Amino acid sequence: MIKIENVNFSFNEKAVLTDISMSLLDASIIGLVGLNGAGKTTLLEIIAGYLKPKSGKLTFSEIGEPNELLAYLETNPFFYPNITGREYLELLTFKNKRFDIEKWNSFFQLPLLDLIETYSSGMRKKLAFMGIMALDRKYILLDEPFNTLDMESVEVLKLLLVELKKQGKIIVITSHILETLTSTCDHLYYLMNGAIVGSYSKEQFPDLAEELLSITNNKYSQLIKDSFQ
Amino acid sequence: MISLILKLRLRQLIREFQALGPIYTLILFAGAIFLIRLAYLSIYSFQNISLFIVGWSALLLTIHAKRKDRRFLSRLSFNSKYIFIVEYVIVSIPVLIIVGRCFPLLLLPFILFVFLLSLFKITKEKFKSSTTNFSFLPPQLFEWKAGIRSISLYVFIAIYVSSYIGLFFPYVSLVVCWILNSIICSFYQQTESRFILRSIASNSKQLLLRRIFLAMKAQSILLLPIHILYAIIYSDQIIISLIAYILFAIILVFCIISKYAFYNPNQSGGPSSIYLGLGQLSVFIPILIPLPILLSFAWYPKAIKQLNLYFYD
Repeated sequence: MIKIENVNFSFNEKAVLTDISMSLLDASIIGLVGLNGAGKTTLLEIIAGYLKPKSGKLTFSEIGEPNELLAYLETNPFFYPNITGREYLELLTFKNKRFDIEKWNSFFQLPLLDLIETYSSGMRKKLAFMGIMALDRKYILLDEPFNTLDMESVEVLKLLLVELKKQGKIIVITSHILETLTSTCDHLYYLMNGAIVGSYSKEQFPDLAEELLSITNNKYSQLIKDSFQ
Repeated sequence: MISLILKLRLRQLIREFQALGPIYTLILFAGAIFLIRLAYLSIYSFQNISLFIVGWSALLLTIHAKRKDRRFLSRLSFNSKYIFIVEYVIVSIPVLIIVGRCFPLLLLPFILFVFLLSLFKITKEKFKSSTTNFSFLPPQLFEWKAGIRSISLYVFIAIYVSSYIGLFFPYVSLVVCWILNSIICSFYQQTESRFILRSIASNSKQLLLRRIFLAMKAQSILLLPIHILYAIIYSDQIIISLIAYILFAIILVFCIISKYAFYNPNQSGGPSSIYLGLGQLSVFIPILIPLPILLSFAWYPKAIKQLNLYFYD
């Protein structure tokens, strides 16, 4: 379990996250939903340990080095230039010899012998996800994993996430596409301006969808009508 | 347009110096002035100055082939060639002054070279062997795979083979070894992502020591046989071969430490490349020999501190 207690974070005196508290249970998929700039990525970066919170604390129930427990897929993963997809995966699997590159590639069909520079953005995302799998970590943080993926890969990814959950892993996902979260997550947190404004269990997901729709409608429907008059 | 680009370059330069800090900037300026003075004093024969111009031209050619701002400049101006000419002439001012004072006639072919260089689009892609299999190198030497691929495996092998051919002549293979070592050091100018850092080690100390150990091991496999053969063939120069080998190893360690002392994820070049250049020249300038040794010791804690930012503490 990961316990996040009263975490605050600010950047240049501007509050980015305010009083964030949540418990991320073992064998669960937790979704973070919110508009651009709501603080989803900042929260993931704090859990990943790349950003230090100004106050509050994070506790990992698992015993061990946090560096070896966590894997974090960034929105736009960077790949070292002039290496092939296979070389990238081999670099990540030298500690995990059980990872079968060919078997995993049967899900995504990537041209692993080609240079990564030649990959499309969707292929890069798939390769980055395979890299995360190669590390075989307990806590998996995925920032916008569904972005740029084709329809088939979105479905494959959903199935893989469910399987990872069954293995006891904790998965935290952000996404702008609510459907991808509601179909995979066990719990959703709605972030707005750096604060959690709603916490929803699976049964309450339809309420969240309705709430988000009504917020958007109230905010923009009149504005759009006015613009076209 | 050209003045706009020059202002932009000036700002980039100031930013680099700010990243270095005042003390290291002063050391750098002192080193540059010393090198220019040294070049001026040692260039007294036509042969030396020709070599000097060829070396400088090769450096410009490499820079031109590796430029990543080509598309940006072509969108900014219809005649990006003029921008290249102006930039290359400006960075060559010390060379132009030295050559102009010693052998003014040589200025003409050099300026002609700069013009021709700016007109042609040379890209490193032309030399790439993209799908070369590097399974003989361990996965953690990914910089070597990328680096050899970027200069072409065939070029790398040709240089390596020439170091053995050079054994027939005194000093030649040692100079080729220096070139090879400089090429290897250049592989470390591109930084990896923070994701890779954490994937290959549990903490910053482990990462740094592993990377140094692995690079030195690969370097030894590559260079040690040449040094041993050189010492056998020229038995009166055993000490020279040994010192050269130790210096190359020190420079490689310095290269890796400086990479992480100034580490920022996903960047190429950066402040460490300037010091690396001075470190590589130290082999030929005895006064500079302590530089990589002292800076390696000074920057080791700095590298650990910098890497700690990217590990969970």
